[in-house]
Amino acid sequence: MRLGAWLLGLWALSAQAATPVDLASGGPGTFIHLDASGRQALALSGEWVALAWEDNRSGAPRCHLAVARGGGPFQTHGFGRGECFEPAVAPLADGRFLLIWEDEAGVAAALVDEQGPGPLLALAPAGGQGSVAWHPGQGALAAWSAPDGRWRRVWLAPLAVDGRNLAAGPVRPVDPVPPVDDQTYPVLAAAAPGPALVWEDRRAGHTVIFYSRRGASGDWTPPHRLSGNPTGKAQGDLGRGTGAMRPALAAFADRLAGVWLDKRDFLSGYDVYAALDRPDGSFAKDGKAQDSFGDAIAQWHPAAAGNGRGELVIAFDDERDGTTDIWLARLTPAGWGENFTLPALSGPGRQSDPALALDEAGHLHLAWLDQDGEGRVRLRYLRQPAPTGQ
Amino acid sequence: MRRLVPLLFAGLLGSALADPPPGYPFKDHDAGLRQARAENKPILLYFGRYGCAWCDHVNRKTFSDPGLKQIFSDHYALIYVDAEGGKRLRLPSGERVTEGELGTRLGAYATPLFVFMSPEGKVLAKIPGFKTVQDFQDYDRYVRGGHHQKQSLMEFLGSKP
Repeated sequence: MRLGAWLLGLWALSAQAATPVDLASGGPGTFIHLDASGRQALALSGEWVALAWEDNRSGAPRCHLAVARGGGPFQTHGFGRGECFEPAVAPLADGRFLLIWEDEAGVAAALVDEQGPGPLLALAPAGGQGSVAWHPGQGALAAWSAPDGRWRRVWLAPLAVDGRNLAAGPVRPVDPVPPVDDQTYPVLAAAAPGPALVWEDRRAGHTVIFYSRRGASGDWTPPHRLSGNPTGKAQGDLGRGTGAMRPALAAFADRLAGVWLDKRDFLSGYDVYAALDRPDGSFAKDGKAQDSFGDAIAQWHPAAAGNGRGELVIAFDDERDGTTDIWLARLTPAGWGENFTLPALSGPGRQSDPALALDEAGHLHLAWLDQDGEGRVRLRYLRQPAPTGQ
Repeated sequence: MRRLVPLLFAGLLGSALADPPPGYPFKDHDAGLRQARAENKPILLYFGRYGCAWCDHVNRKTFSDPGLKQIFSDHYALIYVDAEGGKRLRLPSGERVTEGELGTRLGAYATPLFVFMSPEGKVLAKIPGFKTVQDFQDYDRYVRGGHHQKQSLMEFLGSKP
């Protein structure tokens, strides 16, 4: 019996009160998307949980935010200027959050408190794939990808909080060197030493994952490569390197973990790879984070979450059991644990697109899409007791 | 990778970039769908990946064929999608997704992936990996000959009509 199956049973027994909540649903023609850059669509702040998504239930893509306190009912708020995409949310102190999104007028951000999103802050007239983070000592930050001439470039701005208002400081590119190819999908996270940023970068002629970290002085390090997917031509002078995409970044205690899809083993599609940082701020050599049961098939939609206790969990979806299910793995002292799923995250239909967060008690908060194969889709949320064992 | 060894010098034949084959009227997804509907043409959707060696290989070795270029340029709406791209597109259902997400939906874990579709965007066949000129001529007969209405592509290829 696979240890993962054993864990599933253990979780099921220990989670009798954990029942998924449906936050949005619809029939054929309804499309719900949980696709924040870095899959940062779910965040925790104090007793509060916030979930951001986009759907077309009103007839066009619109952004929505649901907030709840201490396991109470969710209050839902709409936001954005017209069509709205890829909203992302991150915790701020004291039960508040930061929100960023793309809409018809560009990239915008807002503070969220118990009243919902505050006044809108316009960050850029074009672009998207926004990410936000807050560090107790260094404040709030926003990052996004926007055109700069021929290429897309990753931009950063500090955010000042004044009551319910946000104000942006100077906007700067993450890399001052003029781009020679696209920079996309920035993801911010804040560990104890300071904020960090990862993004997709094509300067090598194929997609690789880069990172930069901000020190106490406020300076960002020059870009460093995070993913080890090989660069270079294949025999026959073909191509320029293998693929990587959709990075996620999570802080756990005073450390950071970068997670992404990696195609260095190109015969079986993308695998989930991860790299952990070291005390000097650099990242150790990357490695496969999924277990070997997923090696022969493609993985999609990687997400990561950690907490102040130093726990770290990743999630992704794949079809190893015949249908699309969500799988999770914990970081253990011995490395990445065996993959496991939960009853609500697996079985008939398609369970996909996970977003997750870990609270300080070790409870796992998950949001995902559940599709039944007949055109019905649900956005679901679950708070689950802490995993034990592996 | 071993299959690439005999093609050591194939790089002399064409583009060094694993992007759409040169000289073909490939369009982005939404423009290609509009063209297909307006001209009632079947669609060849090419899923490439930035830097993809096998895409480079098929571009140089197969799409460099003048006859193939004529067939696909004249009779198809040609769409190129970057399987890792973040550009947002509109599916025939009206859903807005990124190029990368479309790759997930269509299982584009290996590139190149060739998706033949009806003018309305219905998937008729999905073919991953390097293919020869003869392979593409067979796919063309399957699609434009209407065989997809009666047979799967594998059945059609097995029957060798």
